[in-house]
Amino acid sequence: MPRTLETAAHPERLRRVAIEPLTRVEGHGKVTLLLDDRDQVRQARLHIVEFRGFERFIQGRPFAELPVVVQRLCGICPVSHHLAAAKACDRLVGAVRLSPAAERVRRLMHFGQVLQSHALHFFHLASPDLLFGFDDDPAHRNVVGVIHDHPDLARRGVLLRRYGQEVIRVCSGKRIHGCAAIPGGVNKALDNTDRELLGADIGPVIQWAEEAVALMRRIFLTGGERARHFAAVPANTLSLVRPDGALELYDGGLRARDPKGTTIFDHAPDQDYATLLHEQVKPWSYMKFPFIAALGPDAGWYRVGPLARINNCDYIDTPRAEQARRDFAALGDGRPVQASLAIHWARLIELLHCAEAIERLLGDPDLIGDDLVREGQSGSIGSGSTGLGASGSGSATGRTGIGVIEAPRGTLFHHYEVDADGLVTRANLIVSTTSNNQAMNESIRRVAQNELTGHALTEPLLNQIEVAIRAYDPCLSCATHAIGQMPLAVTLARAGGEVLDELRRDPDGAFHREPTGPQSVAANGGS
Amino acid sequence: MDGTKRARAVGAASPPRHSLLDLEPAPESDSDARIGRAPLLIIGVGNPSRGDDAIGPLLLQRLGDELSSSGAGTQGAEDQPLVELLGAYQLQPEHVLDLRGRRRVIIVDAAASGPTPFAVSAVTPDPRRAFSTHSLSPAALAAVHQRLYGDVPPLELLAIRGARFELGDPLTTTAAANLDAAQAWLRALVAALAPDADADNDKGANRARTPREG
Repeated sequence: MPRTLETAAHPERLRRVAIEPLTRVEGHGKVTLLLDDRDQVRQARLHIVEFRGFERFIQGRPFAELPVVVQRLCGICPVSHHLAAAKACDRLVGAVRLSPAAERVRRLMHFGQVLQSHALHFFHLASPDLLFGFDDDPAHRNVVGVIHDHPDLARRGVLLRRYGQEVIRVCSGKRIHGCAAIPGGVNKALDNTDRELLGADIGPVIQWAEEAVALMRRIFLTGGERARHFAAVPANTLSLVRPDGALELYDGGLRARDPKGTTIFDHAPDQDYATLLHEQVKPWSYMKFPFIAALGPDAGWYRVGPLARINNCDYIDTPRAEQARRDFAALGDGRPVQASLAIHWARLIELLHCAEAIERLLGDPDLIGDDLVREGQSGSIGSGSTGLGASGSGSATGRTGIGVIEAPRGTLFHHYEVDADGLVTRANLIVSTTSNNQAMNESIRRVAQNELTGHALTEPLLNQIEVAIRAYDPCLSCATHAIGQMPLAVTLARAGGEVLDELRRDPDGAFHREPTGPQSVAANGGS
Repeated sequence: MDGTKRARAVGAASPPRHSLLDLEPAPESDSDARIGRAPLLIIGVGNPSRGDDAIGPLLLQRLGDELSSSGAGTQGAEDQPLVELLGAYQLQPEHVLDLRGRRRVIIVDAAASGPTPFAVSAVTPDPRRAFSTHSLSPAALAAVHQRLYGDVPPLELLAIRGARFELGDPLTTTAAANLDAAQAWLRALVAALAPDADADNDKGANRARTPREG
C-alpha cells in the first residue's frame, strides 16, 4: 500500500508539483507531488483548500424549506440532496412510512437522477480517456472527439441524459429546482400521460444501457493487467442494502465490508450512522476523512459509490443488471473488485439497473395515486414536543432528522437538529466525495508510485492522476461555475521554491506552458 | 432558472410530441414553426444561492417577469413565441437539444473576470475539455452541436461581471449594478425582435452590444 506517501520524512528536500485548483464544489482542490532529485515521488496528496460552508448555509432555516434549499448545494445531483433532506424531514414530522404513491414517485425521480448522472459521467467525462487512451492528444481526448469517432455512442450519451432529465421533470414539474418531495410525501401526483411519455422510450434506454455495459466490460478486459491494477487500492466498502441484501439506492440498512469481503457491520440502521462512522481532520485539507469507527482512522477508511454498492450487494433485483453483476463479480474471484477503472463498469451496471427499475415503476399501478402526504404519527415541531417518532435507534432523541440515500457518487448523509420552532440549529452533511476522500488519496498515490516515479512530468502522465480522481466522479464542480475560474496549474519547483516549469489548463480546457521567470513558490512540504 | 420560465416565455404554444430520444435535426426551412420553438433562446446559467453566481438566474427571472407583464416576446394573433428562457446550473451536453432550430442563442453567465459591467462575445466551437468539471463551456457546447448537426446557431455569451461566489452570499452591489445594465441591453434586444421593430434594429440591441463585444 502506498500509505507511506501521505507524509514524507524530509519534505524540505523535495521538489513540489502542484495541480490546482481541481474545481469548485467541496472547496477548491489541488494535487501536490513532492519529488526528490531522482524524480522519485515521496509524497502525494489530494487537498481541498477551501471550506465549503454547508452548515452555515443551512442553519437558521425552517426545516420544511430544507428539501428545496439543499438543491442549491450541488448542480449535478440536486435530486440526491433533495431526497436526503426530505427523508430527514420525514423523521422530523414523524412520517417515516410514506404512502405507496409517494414512495414510488420519489424512487422514480431518484432512478432518473442516477441514470442521467451516470450517463453524463461515462459518456462525457470518462469515455474519452477510456476509448482513446490516457495519453491521446488532449485536442482529441474530449467529448467532441467521441462524437467524431463514435457518433452513435455520443448520441446515446446525450439522449440518456435527456431521458433522465425528463424523468426528473415529470416527477417534479421542473428540470431543475423542483420540489417533488416534501416532508411526509410528495407534492405532485403522476398520471397516465406522464407514464405514457416516459414509457414510450424506455425500451431503447434499456438497450443502450445494456450495450454500454458490454462496451465498458470489453474496454476493461481488453486493458488486461494494466486495467486491473491502475490506481487499484484495497478499500473497505460502505453502502445501503435492502433487508434481503439486494442493491438499494433509496432506503435501506448500512453494510460495510473489508477488502476481503468480510462483513464489518450489516443492516445497521442508517439513523445510527454517527456511531458507526467517525470523521478525522487533517491539517493539510479542509475535507474531512471519515472512517469506520470500529476499525479506527488508519484502517477504517472506506469507499462509497458504484463499485462499493455492486461489491456489497448480494444481488440486483432487475434481471439484466443482475446478469451483468454476476459477470462483474467473477472478476474478483470471490473478493470485492478493487480496480479504480472497474468503478466505470459498476457505474454502468447501475445505469442499466436504473433503466430497468424505471420501466418496472412505470408499470406499477401504485405509481398513480392521490394519497401523497402522510401526517406525522407522534410529536409536532412548534408545540414543544420532543417526540418525533423516528424509528431508528440513534435519532429519536428529540428534534433530530437523519436522511441517508445512495447518491450517484455514493452514500449521502443529511443530519439536522431543529429547535421548538422548527428552525435548524445544527446540520451535518457527509457527501459521498468526502467519504471517498482517503480512497481518492490512496488511488493517486498508487498512480504516483507506479506511473510517475522516475519519469519526467508530461501532460499524459499528469492526466493519469486526473483519470484516477475522475473514476470516483468527485463532485467538485457544482458550486459556482463563473466564467474565468478553475484553471488547473501544474508547477514544478525546487525545494527552495524556485519555479522550474509550469503547465496550465485554463477554464476552457486549453493547455499551455507558462513562461517561467524569476518567480518562486513556497516549498510547502507540509501543505 | 426552471421549467416554469420556459412555459411562461413560450406562452400558449406547445410543441408537438417528439420522442425523448429524437436527436434528428429539424429541417432548415421553417424549422421554428415545425418544432414550435422560439427563434431566440436565452439560457441563464448559475446557482441562485452562490452569491454573484445568481446573476444568470436573476436576469432570466427579471426578463420573464417583464415579458409576462408587457406581452413582448410574442408575435401574431396566436402569440407565437419569439423568445424562450431556459435556466441551468451549468451547461451540459443535452443542451444541444435546446439549441437546435434556433436563429439566435444567448448564454447569460456570471464572470469572475473581464469587462465591467458586461461583455458580449460570439462563441465559436472549441471542443477542449476542462479538467473534471461537470459542465461544458459555451464553446464546447457549440462544438458538440456542430459535430452532431453540422452547424451551430449564432451563439453569444453575455458575461456579466460578478465579485463574490460563496454559498449563501447575497448579490454584491457591484453585481447588482452590472445586472441592471445587462438587463437593459437584453430588454432592448427583445424589444427589437417584434416585427414592427425591425426598422429599429440598428438603434436597439445591436447598437447596445457593439461597444462590448469581446
